[in-house]
Amino acid sequence: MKPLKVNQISKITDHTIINNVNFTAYPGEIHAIIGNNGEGKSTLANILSGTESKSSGSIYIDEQEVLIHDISSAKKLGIYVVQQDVQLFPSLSIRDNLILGNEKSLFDSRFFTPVKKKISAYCEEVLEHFDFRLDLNRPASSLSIGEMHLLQLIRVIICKPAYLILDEFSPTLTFNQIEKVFSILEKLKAENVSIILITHSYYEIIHYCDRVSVMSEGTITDSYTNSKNGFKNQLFLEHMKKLSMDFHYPKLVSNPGKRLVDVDHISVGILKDITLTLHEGEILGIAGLIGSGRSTLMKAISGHLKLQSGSIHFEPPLSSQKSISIVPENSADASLFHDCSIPFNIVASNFKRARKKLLLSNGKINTYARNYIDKLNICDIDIHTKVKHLSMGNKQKIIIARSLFNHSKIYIFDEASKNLDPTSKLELYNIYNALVVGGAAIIMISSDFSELIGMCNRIILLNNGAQVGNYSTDNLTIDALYEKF
Amino acid sequence: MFKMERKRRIKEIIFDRKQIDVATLSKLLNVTDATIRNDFEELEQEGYITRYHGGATLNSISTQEDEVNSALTGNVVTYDKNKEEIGIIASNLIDEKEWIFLGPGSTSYYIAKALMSRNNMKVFTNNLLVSNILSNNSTIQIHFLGGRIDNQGLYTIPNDIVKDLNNIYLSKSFFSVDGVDLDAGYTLSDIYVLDIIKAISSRCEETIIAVDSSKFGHRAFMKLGDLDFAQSVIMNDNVSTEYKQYYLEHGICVYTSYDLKPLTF
Repeated sequence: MKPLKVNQISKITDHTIINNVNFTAYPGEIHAIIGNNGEGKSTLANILSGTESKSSGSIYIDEQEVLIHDISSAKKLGIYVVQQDVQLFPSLSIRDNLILGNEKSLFDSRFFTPVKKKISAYCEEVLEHFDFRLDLNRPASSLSIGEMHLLQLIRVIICKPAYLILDEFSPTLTFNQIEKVFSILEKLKAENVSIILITHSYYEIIHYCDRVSVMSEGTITDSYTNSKNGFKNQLFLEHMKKLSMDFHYPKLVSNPGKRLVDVDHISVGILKDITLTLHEGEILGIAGLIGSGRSTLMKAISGHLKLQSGSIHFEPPLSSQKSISIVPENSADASLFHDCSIPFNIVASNFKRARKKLLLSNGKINTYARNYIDKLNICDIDIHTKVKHLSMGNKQKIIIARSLFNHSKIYIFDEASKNLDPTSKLELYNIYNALVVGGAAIIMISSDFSELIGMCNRIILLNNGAQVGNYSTDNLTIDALYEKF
Repeated sequence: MFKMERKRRIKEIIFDRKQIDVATLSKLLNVTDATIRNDFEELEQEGYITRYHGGATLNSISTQEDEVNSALTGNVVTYDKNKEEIGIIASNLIDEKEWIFLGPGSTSYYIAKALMSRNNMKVFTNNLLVSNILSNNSTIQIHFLGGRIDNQGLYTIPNDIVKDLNNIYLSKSFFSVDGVDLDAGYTLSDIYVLDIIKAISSRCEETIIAVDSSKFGHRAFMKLGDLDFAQSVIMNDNVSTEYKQYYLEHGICVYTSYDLKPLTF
C-alpha cells in the first residue's frame, strides 16, 4: 500500500467550501480529521471517494498523480467511503444489501453470480467475523439504526479497500459495537490499509488514532501525531478541550402564555399514545434517535398524516391565516423555490399581502424582502442574489422570513441547526428567542440532547414510537436523558 | 419610485421601527443617503419625525419617551431603539425570585422599563432613572444604594460600597460599558462606574454586560477587563461576527436582539 496524498485541493461553488487542502494518509495508520460542522470534512471525503468533483488541486498515490472522476474510478484505486447517512436498500434483504454491486470484487464475476447457498454462506461468515448475527432474509428496514450503520460499514470492508474513509460512522452505535469496529480497523491497519476517520469523538481520537488533522474554515490548519505516550502537543490538548467545551445556549426564563396546541393520546404510524401541549412563548423539544417517530409526530401535528386514534386540537383553529410554519431538515432543498428570486420565496406564504390593488407588486415584494434581510441580519446578500448561492444558515433565514411574513404563531424546526457553524447556530437560537418573546411557540426536533436542554423549556422523549418522557428542563442533565434509552 | 411614494414608504417604515438610521433606510429603499437626508428634512418640518445625527425618530415615540421620563425623573432619556430591545431581552432573563442589580446608564433604564409590567421583582440599584421608573409599580421591591450624586444627577457614587454590600449576594447584575473592543476589552470613561461594577460583580452570581451595537469597536479610556469579563452578553444583532466568534470561543453566553414584529406595507 502506498501513501495517499492530496495537494492544494479546493472546491469552490458559490463560495469556497474547501481551500487549498494539503493532506497525506499513510498506510497502516488511522488518521482522524476533526473540526466543526460545515468546515469541509465531508466534502474532502467525497472528493477522495469520487462522490464529488474538485475545482482544483491534485491527488497522488505513491507520488503518481491519479484522476478520480467518479465513484468507480475511486474504487478501482482502492478508495472507499462509508457515508454518514444510511444508504442501504430498505426493502431488500440483508444478504442483498451486502452483495449487490459488490459481485465483481467478491466473486470475480459480474454476470454469473454464484448460487444463493454460496452467497448466504459467505455472508454468514462475514457477519460472524464481525460478531453480528442476523437473519439474512430480513429486510434492511427491520434493523435498528445502529445495525444499519454497522451493515453499511461491513458492506464496504468486504471489498477490501486500500484506503478506507469513515465519515462519522459511530454516533448511532453502542459502545460495544464501536469497540468491535475498531478491533476490525486495527486488523486492517496491520494489513497496511490507510484509514481516514472523520469524527467528533474525543474518546476515539485519544484511544485509536495515530494522527489527527484539524479542519477549520475549509482548510487543514494543524496536524498532530500520537507518539507512544499519547498526544503530547500542548496546542492539541487545548484544541481538544475547546471542541468539547460546551456551547453556551442563550436560554430565556420561561413564561408560557395561553395554550395553542393540544395533542391528546394520538397514535399514527410508529407512534403510540402520544400526549403533549404547546403554549405561547414556549420552546418544546422532541428528543429521540433517528427512526423514533419524530418526523411522524411533526407530520401528524401539521396535518399531513391521518391519525389512527386520538385527536389534535388547535386554539385558535388553524386556517390559511393562522398556520404552522415548518422548517424541515435540509430545509433548502425541500422548501425553497430554487429558480425563483429571494423576494418571491419570502412572500410565497401569502401572496395576498404582496398585492397592490389586484396584482402582485414587485415594489412591495422587494421592500418586504429588503426589510426581512435587514431584520434577520442576513449578511452579504441582496434581493438579486440567487437562492442556490445562499449558505445553509441564510437559506434557513429566508424560510423564517417567509414564516414571519405570514404572521405564523407555531413553528416546527426539524434538526435546523444540524449543519450550521457555531455563529449561525447562535443566531438561530437568538431568533428562536425573539420569536417566542413575540408570542410564538416553537417545537424543536433534535437528536442533540445538549441543544434541547440548552434551549427548550420542556422535552418530550420518544423511543421507537413510544413516549418515554415529558420533562421540564430545569435541573435536567444529558446523562438523565441517555439513561432513558 | 417618486418622492411622494418614497416618503410614504419612509413613514410606514419609521412607524414600524420607531427609529432608523440613514444608512439602513437608504439600503431598504435602494436610494442614496443624500436622498434620504432630504426626505428626513421635509418629514421633520412636517412634524412627523425628529432627526438626530445619522438617523431619525418617530415623533410620537420621542415625545412619549420624553413625557414619561420628565414626569418620572425630571430627566430626559432620548429614545433609543437598540437599548429598548436589549431591555426586553434582559427582562426575559430575570426570574421573580431573584435579586438583581441594575447599574448606571440608560440601558439599565430600558431594562427597568421592560420590568414595569412584571410583578414582585426585587431590584438593587444606584441608578436614579431606574429607581424612578420602577417606583411606579408598587409590587417591585427596590433597594437604592445611596451616596454622592454624580454631576448629571443620573446615579449615585456610594461612599463605601464594600460596607453597603456587606451581607448582600445578588443573582444577576446588569451593566453597560462605553466601549467594546477585541483588543482593548470593555472600557469606560467614568472611573466611579468602573469601581461600582468591579465591587458588585464580585458579589454577584452572574454578571451580564448589556451593551448596544454603537459601542462596539470603540475605546473609552479606562479598562474594566477583557471581553471575557462577564459570563453573558446582551447586544443587538448587527454586531460584526468577529465579536460573536470571540464570545463563542471563550464560552460566553450571547443574547442578541431581533425585531421580528409583524410588518405591513
